[in-house]
Amino acid sequence: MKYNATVVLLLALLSLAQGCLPAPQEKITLHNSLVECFPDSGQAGSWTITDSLCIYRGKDLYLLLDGGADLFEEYGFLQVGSTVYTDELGVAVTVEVYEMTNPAAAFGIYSLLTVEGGVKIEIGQEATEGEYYIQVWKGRFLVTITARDADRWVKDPARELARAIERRLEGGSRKPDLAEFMSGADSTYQGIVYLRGGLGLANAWTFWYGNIVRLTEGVTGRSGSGNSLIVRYTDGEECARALDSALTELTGPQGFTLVSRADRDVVLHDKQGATVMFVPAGRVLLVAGARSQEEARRCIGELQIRVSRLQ
Amino acid sequence: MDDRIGRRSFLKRSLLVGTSLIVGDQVFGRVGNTIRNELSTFTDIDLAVVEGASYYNATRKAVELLGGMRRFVNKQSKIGLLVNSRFDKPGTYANPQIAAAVVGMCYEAGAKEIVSLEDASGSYWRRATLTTELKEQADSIREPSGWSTVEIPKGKRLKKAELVRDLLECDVFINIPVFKDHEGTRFTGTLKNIMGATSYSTNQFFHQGSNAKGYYDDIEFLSECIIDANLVRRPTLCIADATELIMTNGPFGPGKIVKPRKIVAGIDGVAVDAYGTRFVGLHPEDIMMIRMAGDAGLGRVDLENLKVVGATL
Repeated sequence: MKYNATVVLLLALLSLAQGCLPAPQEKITLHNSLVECFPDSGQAGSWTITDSLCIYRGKDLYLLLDGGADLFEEYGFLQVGSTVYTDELGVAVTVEVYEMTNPAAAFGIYSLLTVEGGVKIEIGQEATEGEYYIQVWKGRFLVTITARDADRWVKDPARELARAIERRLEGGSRKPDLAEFMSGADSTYQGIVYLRGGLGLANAWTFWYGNIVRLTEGVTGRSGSGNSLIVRYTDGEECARALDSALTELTGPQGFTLVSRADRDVVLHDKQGATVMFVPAGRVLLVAGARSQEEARRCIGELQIRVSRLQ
Repeated sequence: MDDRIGRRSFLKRSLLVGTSLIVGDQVFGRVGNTIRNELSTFTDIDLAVVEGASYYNATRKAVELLGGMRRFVNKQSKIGLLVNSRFDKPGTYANPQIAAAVVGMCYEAGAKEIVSLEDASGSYWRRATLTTELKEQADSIREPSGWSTVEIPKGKRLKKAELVRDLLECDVFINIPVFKDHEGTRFTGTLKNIMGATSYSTNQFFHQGSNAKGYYDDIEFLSECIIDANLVRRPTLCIADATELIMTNGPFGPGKIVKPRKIVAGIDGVAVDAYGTRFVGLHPEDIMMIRMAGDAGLGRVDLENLKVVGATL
C-alpha cells in the first residue's frame, strides 16, 4: 500500500531526527502495527490524513506532551501515534492513539482525562463524547479525537472515525476491580477516576496537596455533594503507616485541625471548615471529603457498605 | 473563529463600531467616554481587559487602552515575542489572531525585527485564518538564534540558566501566554510562560533539580525556579489570551473548555496572572508561584488596588 510505505519512511526519518529512545526495558510487547490503527483515506467516511503520522515511544512522549507526559508515565505508557485527519468540509481533527502497558493503565488515563459533562457513547469498551472531542478506551489503548477548532466539531463523522480506529484495536480485560467497585450497576458515583499515583491524585482530589496517603492504586468519585477516595495498599500495616503519615502532614504543614480520632475513624477540618474523614478497613483506606461532617460521614457509610467485596 | 481581518479593515471598523467601556473595578460600572479620552486618561492603568468576538480587534483595543504600541516600541526596535504555542488542542495555546495583532502593531510602531523566543510548532500560524498581509508579517518572524547561559545571583534556587539568546538581546520583550489549567502548578500564564524560552536542560532542572523523582513532585522548587527565571528579564508588555481556555487537563488538553473571549493586557506580568486565575476558577493566593512572585517584588498581587480598564467590542 502506497500510504504504508510513506508512513514507514516517515517513521524511519522521524526516529533519526528525534533520536527516539528505545522502548522501555520492561518486557512488554509493543503493538508493532500501531500505524495500522490509523485508517487510510476512504476507510473512515470522508476523512483523510493531512499531516505526518508521528509515533512517540517511551521518553519521547515529552516531545508531544511536554508538561503532561509524566502523567501518562505514572499510569504506564508505551507509545502513541498522532496525526491530523481532515474531512470533505475541511474540518480537521487531531487523532492520538495511546498504547499503555495494560488495560488498567489505559482505563486509568481514560478516566482521568474524560471531562465531566461528556456523554457516554457506544464505541470500544467505553467512550465519552464532549463538546469538541471523543475519547475511547479499548484494551490497553486510549483514542483521543479532538477538533482543531473547538467551534467546528462534526459529531457523526467523528464517531465514524472513532469506530474505524476502534475496530483495529485489540480488546482487553474488564475495568480494574477498584473502578468496578465504584462504577457498578447500582452505583451513584460520578466522575470516577482510577488512580495509579500522586499526579493522578493531585488532578482528581482537591482536599489536600500532594500524595500524602502514599497512593499507588486508588479510585475516586463523587457522590451527592461529597467526594470519596479509596486507596489500596499491600497490607493493613502499610495502610496504617500511610494514615499516620497523612495525619502528620495534614495537621502540620497543611494546617488542618484534628476534630476526633476514634478507633475506627479520624475526622479533620481544613482552614475553610471542610471535613476530611479517614477510615482504615484492612488493606484499604476509605476517605471522604465534603463541606460538612454529616456529608463526609454519609460518603464513608456508603463506601463501607460496599467495601467487603474488595478485601 | 474564522476571524479574517487585517490591519486596515480594523482601523476602518474602529471608526464605525461603537465601543462600550467599563472602567475601574472591571464590573465597576462607571462608563467612560470616547476612545480618544481614554488614551489621555488611562495610560497609567494597570490592566486592560477587553472582550470581543474578534480576538484580533480585542487585542488591538487592549494595547490601545494601555497607551498604544508606540508607548512600548520605538522605531528600529528588536522585538522578542514569547507566544505559548506548543500544544495544539483548543484552549491550550495563545490564539494566533492575538499574536498576529501584536506583530502588526509592532511593525506599525516601527519595529525593525521580530524574533520568536520559543521554537514554535510549525503548524502554529496555520491554526487561524490570516489575511495575506498578516501571513507575510508572521512569515517575517525570525526563529531564535541560540542559547546563552546567564547567572542569576538573586535566584533562590536557579543560580544559572540557559535561555534563548534573543530574550537577553531584544529591546522589547512581549509575553503572550494563554491562561489555562496546569496539572503541576494548577495555573499557567505569563510567569510560567518563561519556560518556553529556557533550554531543555534548564527545564529539566526546574522539574527535577531538587532530586524530585517525578516532573511535579516538588512544586515549591518548580515555582521558585520559575520566579528566579523571571528575575532575568521582565516583560515590556504582557498580552494574555483568555478567549478560549481549558479548565481541566492542562497543560495539554483536551479539557473542559470555557470561552470568556477576553484579552488581558498589562505591563506587570504578575498582576496579569493574578487577574487571570479567575478564568480557571481560582484565586491568586491559590497559586504558589504567584504568591512567591508577589513576595519577591516581581509584581503586584493586590487585585483590589489595581486600576483595571475594561471594554467590550
